[in-house]
Amino acid sequence: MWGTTRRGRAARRVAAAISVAALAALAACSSDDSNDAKSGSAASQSSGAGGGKGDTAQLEFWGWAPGYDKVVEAFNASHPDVHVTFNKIDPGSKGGYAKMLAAVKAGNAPCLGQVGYETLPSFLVEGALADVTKEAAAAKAKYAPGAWSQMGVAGHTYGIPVDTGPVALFYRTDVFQKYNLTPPKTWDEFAQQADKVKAGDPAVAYSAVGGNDPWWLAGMAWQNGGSWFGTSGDTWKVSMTEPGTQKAMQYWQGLLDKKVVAADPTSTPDWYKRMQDGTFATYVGPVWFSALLEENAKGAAGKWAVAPMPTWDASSKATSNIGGSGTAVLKGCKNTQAAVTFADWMSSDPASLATLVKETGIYPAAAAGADLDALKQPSAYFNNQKIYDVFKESAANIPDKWQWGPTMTQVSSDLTDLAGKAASGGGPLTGALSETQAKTLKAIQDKGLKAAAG
Amino acid sequence: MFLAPFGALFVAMYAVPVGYAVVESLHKMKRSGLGLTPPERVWAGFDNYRRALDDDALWSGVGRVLLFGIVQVPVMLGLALVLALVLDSQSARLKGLFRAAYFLPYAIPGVVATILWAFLYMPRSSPVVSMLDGLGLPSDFLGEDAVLWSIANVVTWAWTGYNTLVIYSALQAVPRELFEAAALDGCGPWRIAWRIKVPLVAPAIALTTVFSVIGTLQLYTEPRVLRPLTSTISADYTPIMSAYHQAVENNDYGQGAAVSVLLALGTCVLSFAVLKISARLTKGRASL
Repeated sequence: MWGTTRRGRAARRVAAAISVAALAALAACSSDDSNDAKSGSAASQSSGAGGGKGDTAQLEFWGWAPGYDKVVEAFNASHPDVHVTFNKIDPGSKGGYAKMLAAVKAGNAPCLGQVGYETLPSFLVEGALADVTKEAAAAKAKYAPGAWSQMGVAGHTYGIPVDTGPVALFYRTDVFQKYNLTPPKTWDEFAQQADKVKAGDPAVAYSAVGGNDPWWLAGMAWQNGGSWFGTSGDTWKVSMTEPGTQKAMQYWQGLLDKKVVAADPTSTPDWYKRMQDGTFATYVGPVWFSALLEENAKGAAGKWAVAPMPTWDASSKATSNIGGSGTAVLKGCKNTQAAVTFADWMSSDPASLATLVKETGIYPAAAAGADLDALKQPSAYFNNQKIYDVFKESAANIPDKWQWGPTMTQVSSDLTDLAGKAASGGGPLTGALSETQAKTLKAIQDKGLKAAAG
Repeated sequence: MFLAPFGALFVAMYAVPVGYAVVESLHKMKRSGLGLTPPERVWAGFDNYRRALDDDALWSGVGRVLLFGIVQVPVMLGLALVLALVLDSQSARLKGLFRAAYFLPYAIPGVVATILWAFLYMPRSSPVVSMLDGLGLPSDFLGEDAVLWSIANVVTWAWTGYNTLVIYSALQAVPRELFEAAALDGCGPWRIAWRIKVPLVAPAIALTTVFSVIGTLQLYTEPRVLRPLTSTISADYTPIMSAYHQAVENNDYGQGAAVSVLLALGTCVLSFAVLKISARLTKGRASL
């Protein structure tokens, strides 16, 4: 929230006119400033084996997820030859990413950084990632293919996946009982139930559409097996108007036009109020939404349940993914092998995963994660349903073709603006996507990269 | 010699950052193909400026803050002037209390103030909205047409008291004998206020006008805080938001710096214009 000095004191005001430029300059280097204290130690720590501690390789790791510090402690205790130092930074979109990129620029970046799947290609084109295709090759078999592919671009690997966001259908048992419904298996059934609920009580929206949530919209498209981005030779391909996306967007547009679902801005206090008071009957959301729901709609305890994500036809099992992140190896890391060893251990060691599930609330990307005890427990909030059974099934059926692009912050803010407007009555969602695609092509080309529609 | 401390601070805190922004704005990152190889920083000339001037979103942001300023600044300063005159009038009671009460909103950080107002704007949680609904006046404070004025309301709430105090301080400096003399000459309180007090505090009003104009062009906090609550505030809603959007969200510091430099120049020009106009007006009043 820097740069918020909208109006200052009288004496300083006269100078304010020109200092706008100064503000931008400060913004540009503010992430450096906060690193200054650390940069010295970071440089010495990442200088690799042969440092002060005999043969111990020193690695630094920046992230923000709670629980990561505990995993690092456990790793250090069991691995005398590698010592990892964890530094908690602000969440990526709240300045953490800017800080990592600035550190890479300044030459004092940590060896490892927590990076969301959607952000990985952006880091790549900023020159912030180290290619660890060779070092990581042996670990590949341990992870869900859909998650593994998220940590790479065009056949190169840049880190190890940590968690995924398998999608399911959250629904209100009280509303479903009232209208005598069972969780819909297909999107057709979903639409029929929406009509029924609307006819019964116009104040209840059958589902909440994440119109201003670009990751939710991507999640709806993801289920159909396509991808918004891809690479072909040395060119980025952008296809936000591909058939699978069209199909999903036209479907949700149809429900919006009939006003049987609502497109309130998501994650606001108002939105959670509807989650709590029963005026949203369902929500199509990822595994980590369960924790948010529990925290923000405490009063609805025992009223929500989880069912598999509806599919396009009864024979298909394809689900979707929203969110998820990995541990990326950053440019300048001197000991990439040790970095990969740690990242792989963190994401696949059963003890580490147990900590991450409990403390961080992740759904593991490692295949072994699904058998963890912690993921077999009933959830009190969900009326003691074993909700992870549903997510386990979902995780196994996420299409693995999806790829993110190199300018996702731009895509995210453009799509938030355009689709947000479209969903609240300003025009079709498909139009918002094709407009975002045009802006995205331009943004990628503005970066000097090659991009084409398709 | 005595200028050294000032000079050093001026260079470190002011000249260097401005210079850095200007230099940044003349560079861009060069990449190729997929971007698998690290980007290089290269000279861009006025490329970034050309792109900024071609950006329709930036221009509509400028138009938006100008519209905002034309409406909000006069309303706020008019209100501030009236409050200051009331505070200054002989008959006002509890002056200290009112002075503090007017000033209080200014002491609340902009982010906090906006969050407070946001709770009154949100369609489902707001007691104001439900009350208006009850009266048969459905309202959407965050809707397409209303949102700019909802922001103006927050700004007015936060800054009227501050401007009131600036004008009030100027009024305090006016010799009381003037009012007594005017009263002896048969002037009523209204005439004293309009013919004597207002012309004498005209420089203070001019000053608050310039500050308010600058503040308007720098509009950022309020729309930024309200943005997650509505789809009617885009990422480049105001010029400053546009600079942030380019620099941080699009990771294009050169472009962000170019927008900032343009905005700084624009603000300079506008502030000087306002100063000149008000100086001329003040002179005109004084010679009457």
